[in-house]
Amino acid sequence: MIFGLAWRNSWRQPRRTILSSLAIAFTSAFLIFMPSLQYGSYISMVENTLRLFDGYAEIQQPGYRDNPEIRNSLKIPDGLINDLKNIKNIKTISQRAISFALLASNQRSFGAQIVGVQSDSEALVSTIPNNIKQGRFLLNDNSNSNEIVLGKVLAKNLKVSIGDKVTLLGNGRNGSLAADSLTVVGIFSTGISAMDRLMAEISLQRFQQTFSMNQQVHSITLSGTDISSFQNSMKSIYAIARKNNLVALDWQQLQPGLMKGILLDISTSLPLYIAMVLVVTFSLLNSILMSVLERTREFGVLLSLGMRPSNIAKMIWLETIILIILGLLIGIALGYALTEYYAHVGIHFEEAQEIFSEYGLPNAMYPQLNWFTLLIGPGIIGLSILASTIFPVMRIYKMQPVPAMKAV
Amino acid sequence: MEKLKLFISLSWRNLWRNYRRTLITFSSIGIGVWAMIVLASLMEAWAMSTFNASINTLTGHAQIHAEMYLQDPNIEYRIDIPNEKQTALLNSDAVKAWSVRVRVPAVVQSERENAPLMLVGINPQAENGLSFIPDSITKGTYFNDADSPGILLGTKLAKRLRTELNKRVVILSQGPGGDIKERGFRVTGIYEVEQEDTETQYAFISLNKAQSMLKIDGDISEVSFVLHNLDELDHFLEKYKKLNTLSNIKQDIKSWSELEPFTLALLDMTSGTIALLTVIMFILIAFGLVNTLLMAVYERTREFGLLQALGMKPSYIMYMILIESTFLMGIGVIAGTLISLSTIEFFSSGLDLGALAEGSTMFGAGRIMYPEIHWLQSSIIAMFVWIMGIITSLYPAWRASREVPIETINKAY
Repeated sequence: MIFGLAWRNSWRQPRRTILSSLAIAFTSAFLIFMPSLQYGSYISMVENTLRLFDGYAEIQQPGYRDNPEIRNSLKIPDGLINDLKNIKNIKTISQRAISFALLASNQRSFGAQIVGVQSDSEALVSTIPNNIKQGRFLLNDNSNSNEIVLGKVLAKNLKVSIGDKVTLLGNGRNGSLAADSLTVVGIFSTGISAMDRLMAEISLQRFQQTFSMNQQVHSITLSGTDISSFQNSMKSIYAIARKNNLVALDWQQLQPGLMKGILLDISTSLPLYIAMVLVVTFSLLNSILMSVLERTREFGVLLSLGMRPSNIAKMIWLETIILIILGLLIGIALGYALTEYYAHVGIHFEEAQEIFSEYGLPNAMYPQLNWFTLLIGPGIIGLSILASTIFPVMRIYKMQPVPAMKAV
Repeated sequence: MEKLKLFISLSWRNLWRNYRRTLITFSSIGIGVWAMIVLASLMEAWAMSTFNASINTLTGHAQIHAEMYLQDPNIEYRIDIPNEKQTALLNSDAVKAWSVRVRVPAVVQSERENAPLMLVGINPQAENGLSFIPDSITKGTYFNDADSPGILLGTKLAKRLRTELNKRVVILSQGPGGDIKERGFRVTGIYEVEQEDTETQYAFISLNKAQSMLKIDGDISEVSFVLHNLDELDHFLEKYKKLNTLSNIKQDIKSWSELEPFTLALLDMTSGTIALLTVIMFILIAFGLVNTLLMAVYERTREFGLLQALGMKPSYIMYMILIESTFLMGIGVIAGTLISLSTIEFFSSGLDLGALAEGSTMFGAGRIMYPEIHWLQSSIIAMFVWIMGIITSLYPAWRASREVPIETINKAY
């Protein structure tokens, strides 16, 4: 019976009920859409940044991260590669060696970061092989060929194009002179200015020979299908690295700024969300309180007829819950539809392309919906409105039948 | 006029007939406005921090180069030091600081390691107020004059090179003929900045040493300057360009927005986001406002009927409700604005991002945000919410004026 009463009361003032539930709906739709958008952009930022070069995790010689010098290399221990292959989420294992050297063309010379890569597996840990704008990537035979691919800006600075020769000058691992003559076969463009300006890739074998690496490498780069499932395997990767006296770095260690950037973004948007929840809670509190106060006489009659205050309170709670459920249902449906729509179409930022590529993002953002982003915002809105209903309900317990009936 | 006075006092009293409702509505409007203004100010502070970091990192408000230099920052593309007329313009009151630099790509070698970087020859005194260099030396000393020997390295680069103060490094760079020039420098200073990229990207030597090492006589790569007032930049650049056209000098003059399109895009995005959030927050406030006013109208239906029966024109009832909403919004907006201004004032001495600072520097901003009171922006947000609120209340006001006197007087509750 109380539910029936509450239901009918809700529709005595249909305009108020509709406005109140629309306020809830609007806020919850927004609080579904925004976190989904943020989550989606975090995921794509992390994926894009890691896939560009770093991979999902790396195994290195201890101390290499702080001192990435050529001497801090590692000899691949027996069985390590096989152990890694047995871990479920690892799809690709690629070895690299890295050093700075001077690249010189006929007219120019520039410093560059030279990376020795296994050309067949490199395409699976890094997007550089797929971002070749001219020519081609290193051939897939891991041979000792004298080919080199350069970043776009580096190639432009050196004034070289496909087929030109460049001379490499650097220091070998044992301190000897490292010198080589290489042919440019490809030019890549990643959109990250530091990479396009500084990076050049040659085959790992060639690198090891030129820099007197004695079969050693600087990093074993690991990759998988997606970062969240890959993270589950980090424990086993740490264990394998430790067993071989090496260190494994996960993506947060490889890109320490990235996680902090995400946390910063979350913590700057939180105050906005809290303020929105507060605004909608206050306006709902107002509406509920008014609906209680304007019925003072009616409640007086109910009380004098013998209805208990607790039952009237129950009725008010039910009215509020009806309002909340109505609002949340509309809001969740709206938020879901909106988010799913943009998850397919994407939100395009043609003008902000500059920013996005610098952060490793494509120029469209795709919100990602999951149970958490779908329910957390609406849940908090519902709970905070429910909590604020305590104030109007307390009014009911204070009512005395006779004065209440006489109230204007 | 008499009537207006009457409306105002009627509306004012009506507001306080149900003070609880009025107070709750105030709080809801106030919180909304407060959140908007404070967030907008934080976002502005963030954008400013990015802007300043970018201006301070050698960009200045504008730069002058040889044509082609920006596409290909090579020693081949040089300009003469500013001539008499150009110097006079650069020394004018509008300019806060200006300097000339040699800036070429180079490789630095320590005993252990080598790394590529931009070698910048600077005039040490002129960099004061222009770039970060003079204020960022954490070890050793800054240069005394344009002849000072030595080199300044970034902390991170020094660590990567495994070198330290007073050790020697060798700089290799290309001279004008294409031959490699090589010279040893003693590390006389180590600088530290928030953006680690900068620390590995630039090494500084004195201007004369750079010119003599590269054998380019008195030539330079760039002129950079900052003005006292950024708004005068376009005008100033216009003057400089005109001067160059008159003397038949071909130079590439670019403002910061052309040099750093990334920073410009970030600033644009910030103002766009602020506008969007203001609108969304307003829609939320509007729901609450319309609801409150509608209720206030409904519970007074009988009263409005009576007023009309006594001869009050329907339009007067509408004015009365509109004035009520003007008060309701106004007090909420003003309270929200005042509280937000004091919140900003509280943080204006610097809001340390603490543990999150690494993320902030990754995005090119600083570790400490300095929110400022932006009068114009705050008043735009406040006025927007206020005026839109009054417009929104047209609907309840119109409803109230439409009641038919006899029906409403007889309406039972």
